[in-house]
Amino acid sequence: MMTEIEFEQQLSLFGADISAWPAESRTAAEAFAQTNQGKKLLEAEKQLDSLFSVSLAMGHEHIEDRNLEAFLKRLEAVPHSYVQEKPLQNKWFSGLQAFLASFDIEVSSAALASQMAALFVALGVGIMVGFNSEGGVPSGNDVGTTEIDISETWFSDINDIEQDAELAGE
Amino acid sequence: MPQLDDIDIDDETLVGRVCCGDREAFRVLVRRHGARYRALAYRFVGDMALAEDLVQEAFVKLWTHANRFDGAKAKFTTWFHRVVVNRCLDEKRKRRIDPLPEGYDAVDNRASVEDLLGQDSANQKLLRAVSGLSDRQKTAVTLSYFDGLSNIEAARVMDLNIKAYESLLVRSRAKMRQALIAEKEELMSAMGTA
Repeated sequence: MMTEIEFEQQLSLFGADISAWPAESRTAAEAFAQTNQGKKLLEAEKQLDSLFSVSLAMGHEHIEDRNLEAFLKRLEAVPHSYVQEKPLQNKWFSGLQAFLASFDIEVSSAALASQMAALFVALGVGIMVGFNSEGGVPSGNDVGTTEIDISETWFSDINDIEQDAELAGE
Repeated sequence: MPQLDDIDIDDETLVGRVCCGDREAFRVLVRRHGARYRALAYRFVGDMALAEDLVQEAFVKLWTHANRFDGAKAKFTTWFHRVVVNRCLDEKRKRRIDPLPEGYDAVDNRASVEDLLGQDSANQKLLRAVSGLSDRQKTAVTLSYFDGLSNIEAARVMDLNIKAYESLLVRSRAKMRQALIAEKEELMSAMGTA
């Protein structure tokens, strides 16, 4: 015997005409259709079919035809009252596109905009990292003597300095 | 010069022209689809003035943001169905959480025998059955049975795969059947006690 749930599933899939259901479930379905609940479900399914066919046959144009013309005129007037959003494009963009096109490289405005945005983000990140980094290149007057000690190599001996002074006539 | 109406130009081409500020192309789209989307919105919100406002908002969006439509990704009607349906569902959700006025008394929503007998037209019976569905179920039923979209088109509008859409439709139909059975029993019971 078919359960109510099984009967409902088949009903939704194959409709109210049980002779059109798959052969293996037909006998069980016909038995369930004789029950009180089976009869109710079949009747409701037929009613649904009929209601939907009536509604579709009427079509959308029958929904309150009054004022339809006025409504369409209202819609037609939209361009007179609203400004269009312009696509992201300016002379600089167009110029860059034309330049790339001269090398047979075609780039859409959207792709170009995203590439430029990515470039600016990468630049910004690089600059921020540069500002925040420590060590490496000393900044300002903060020069460490241990890092740059030229005295030992240039004036390795105090006598050199004295000789230089004598030569200079000091 | 021939009017655009006289030429067989597809919707996607017309939207392309709307992008460039072509008002005549916009007018043709309004004439082609305005009534259909008004009816669709009415099915969702049940109030013609509100439905017209919502569809007008959608057409304003079409005019101001036409450049956001990508004809390579979707048909115009699929995209526009989505715009209208989403706007209607947003509005319904908004209205659902609107606070009730002070001193509001809940009314008895059970239909009287007179109501049930008086509202006997097929459409009203159908609308009552649809009103018990969830938003997703109602959207599926509206697109397939009232608006006449194919299952594939409707699935695209709802951004579902075809299997998921068909399953949603089967569940919606089962729920509507139960609503029709319950309504009939209510009517019989009311007549029996009258």
